[in-house]
Amino acid sequence: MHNARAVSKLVLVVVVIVVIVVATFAAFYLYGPQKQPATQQEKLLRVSFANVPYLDPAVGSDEASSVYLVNVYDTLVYPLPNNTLVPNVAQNWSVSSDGLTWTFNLRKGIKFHSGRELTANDVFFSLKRLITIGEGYAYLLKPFVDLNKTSVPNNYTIQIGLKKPFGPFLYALLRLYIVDSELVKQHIKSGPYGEMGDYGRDWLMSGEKDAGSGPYMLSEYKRGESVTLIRFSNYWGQYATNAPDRVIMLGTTEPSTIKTLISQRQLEITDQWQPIENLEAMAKINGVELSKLSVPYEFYLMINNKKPPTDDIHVRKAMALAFNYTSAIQDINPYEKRAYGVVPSTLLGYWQPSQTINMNITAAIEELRRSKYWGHFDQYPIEYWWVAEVPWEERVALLFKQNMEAIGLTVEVVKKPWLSVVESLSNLETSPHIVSIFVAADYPEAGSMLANRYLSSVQGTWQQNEWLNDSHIDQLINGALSTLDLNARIQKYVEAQQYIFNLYPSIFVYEHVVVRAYQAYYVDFPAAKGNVPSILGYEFDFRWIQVFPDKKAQL
Amino acid sequence: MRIDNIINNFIIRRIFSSIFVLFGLSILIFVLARLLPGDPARLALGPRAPEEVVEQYRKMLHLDQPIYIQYVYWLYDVFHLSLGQSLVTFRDVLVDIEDFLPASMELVLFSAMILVIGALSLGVLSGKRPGSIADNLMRIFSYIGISIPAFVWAIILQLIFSYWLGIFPAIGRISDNITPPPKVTGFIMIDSLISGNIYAFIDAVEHLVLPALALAIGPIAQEARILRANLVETIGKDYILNLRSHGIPDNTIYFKYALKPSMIPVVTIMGLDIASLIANAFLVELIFNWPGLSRYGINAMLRKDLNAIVGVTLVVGLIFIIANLIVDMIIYKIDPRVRNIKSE
Repeated sequence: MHNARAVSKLVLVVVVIVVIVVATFAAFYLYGPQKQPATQQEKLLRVSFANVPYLDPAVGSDEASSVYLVNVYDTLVYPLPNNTLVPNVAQNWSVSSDGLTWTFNLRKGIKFHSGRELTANDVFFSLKRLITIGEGYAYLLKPFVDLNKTSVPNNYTIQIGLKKPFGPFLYALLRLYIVDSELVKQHIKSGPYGEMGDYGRDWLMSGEKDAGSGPYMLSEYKRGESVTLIRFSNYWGQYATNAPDRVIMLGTTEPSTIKTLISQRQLEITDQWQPIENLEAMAKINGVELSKLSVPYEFYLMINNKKPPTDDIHVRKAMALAFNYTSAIQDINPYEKRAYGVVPSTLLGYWQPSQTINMNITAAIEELRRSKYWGHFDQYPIEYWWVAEVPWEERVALLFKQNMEAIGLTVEVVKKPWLSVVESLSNLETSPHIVSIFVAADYPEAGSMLANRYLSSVQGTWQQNEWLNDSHIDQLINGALSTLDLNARIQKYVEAQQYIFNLYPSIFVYEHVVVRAYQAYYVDFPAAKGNVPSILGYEFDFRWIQVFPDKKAQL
Repeated sequence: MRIDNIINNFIIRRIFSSIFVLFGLSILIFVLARLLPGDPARLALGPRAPEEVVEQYRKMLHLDQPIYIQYVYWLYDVFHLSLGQSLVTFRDVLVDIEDFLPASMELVLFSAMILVIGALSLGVLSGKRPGSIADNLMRIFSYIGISIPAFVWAIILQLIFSYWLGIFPAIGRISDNITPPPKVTGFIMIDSLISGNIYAFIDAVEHLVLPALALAIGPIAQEARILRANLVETIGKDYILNLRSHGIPDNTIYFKYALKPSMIPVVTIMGLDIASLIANAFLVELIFNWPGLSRYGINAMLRKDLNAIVGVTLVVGLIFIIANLIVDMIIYKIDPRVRNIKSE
């Protein structure tokens, strides 16, 4: 009796579970999302990034944020694929003979996404806001712009005063994203910026709306997940014929996820952080190809020029001669390009050394003999740090160790977390002999990388382990940056590079090539043809990327 | 009536002691987070932010003060319902937690449901007939389930069901072509039901299946194995023999007299496993691009986001305390020995 009751209960439970499962699957089949009317012809572009962007133009400066800002906000000038600048919001401009006042005449009739017209007051407000908050890309403008000498003579003219002449000033203006000042002011909360409170930062970061006038506008912000943009129908500028109607910026780089999304055609362009094996696997998927774009990033082995034995130029030169550059590319990072000079070759004003440094063990030993430490190298082990978060750097470190041991130098390879690297490089005493780091240029001129890497003012930051502290270098770089005439400026960049190169301060290993997998069959991606400016974010000006849904349907 | 009083006193005592536990935890994490290398203000504003701006930010966060003063400021914020500003999102950590916790809770609760059903049914199935084919298959499943970590299961499941079969979505909480329901609870499944959006509900369930399963497989294997062992042990006890000698049917003995005592250790472990899912789901959240608290917490640690580290740790600590409390109450209900001790 009891048994029968228990069995019937069990049967009942099983039946209920089966009914629930069947009903659920039936519901999936009948009402599932795939059954909703599909927008087959929608031009949808999905791109993955390392993170979801920061939405405030005065805060974000990473890759995802730069892409977002380029698309949602307008700037005074705009870069062409050859890196020359053309009018954008500014119709034309002029500069005073002393280089201290730049006057911009603005285009009339530009509308913000809110419907308001963009005026010079918005430009001034955006500039003041960026410099006052001081984050994001403010570092490009803050040292030069004098807000007290900046004025708005009329609604369509702005005069920007500088504290000192700055030749590449127009490039720096590529990071001045113009916000709708009235809209931002309506959303100010209490904060540290006096009467401007928090300058509307909380509101902009919340992703409720954007305050831009760019070709795309914010449609949805899924915190920690994605950002969706849609085309701005009243945009004053042009789009390519098949420019995307909707763009989703995903914040994920997980290789298995990315591969799955690409294979399911749920992602059009991948991020640049995919491992080589994953890229090669994706390239085998029908219709998927790899895009390879040279960007102005250089991978340096930064040599401490003040610590024995690397304070001796002969030791530094010997190390540069003993390193196997070919193996570093072929065996470790086959997509990267060999770096030859102080700055990446994609930058305007790049100087290529007349004599290429190649591996030459005999010459390296000869250099070591000239060193004051010759015969005592066993007393001076060389400490080499690689960044723990970038696993392939260990292979470069081990290659370096092997190469140096061939000329009698002892190398201790140390894996260091990035935060420890940053902290240790703030002090000469705690800096290692060598640390391997990628550094990026902010604008496509040699001066940007020279300033980021070799000025005395960047000593104590992760961008310089060389501890050069050389006033002549400062003079050369600052002199070049303050030169308005482009040709003269380039000449000065070359002088600075020659001088620095002859000090053998670093080993120049890779020029970075960004590799992404993309749906080549139905996406026209200008970056894959190298047809984009060398400025972070502009390779993803979505207006010029084209999507062909009919071709996608054929896959 | 008396039992109710005992339970109430027990809960009050546990809540009271939990306050001290959380207070101690906050001090510990607060200090430990500040011992990590790296300048949090510099990390927050980026390597190229002007030094004066970084200095101003340090002052704003009171990082220029001794640790104990910083802690007092933090405590002051807590009493004003704030957990301080996140150095990554630049918002109040409490607001961040409000955003990210529901995603994690939804995932963990769905996973817990799979875990409870899976572990109990597999445990009973294999414990009832030791040595049978079902038991042997269960053993193999257990070994595989326990030895393979959740993130590998995540990759395997994604590979099979998203990459090859294309049945389930690979990432996110809801598809791009579905309008998310208005936020009420933050649980998309519940919110979609509240708003009567059946499409969103089904879509949310589809998105939950793979990550929840990936999280649940390991604990299912472990707990089914424990339940099986306990059942086998209980079945061999004298009182079961006594029941059999009285002619009580096997199923009644099994489900009424053997299963209940065998479940006590399983319930304890299950409670802790479910609580730990929220902290250990990082890689699964990463693989499925799930905007949850675990991922937020790990990012906070990598970026030395001081307030977020403390905030997330406290939330996880609180969840463990609640899970322990629930486990104690369930055991109190199912184990008469515990009730008797309390009554005495």
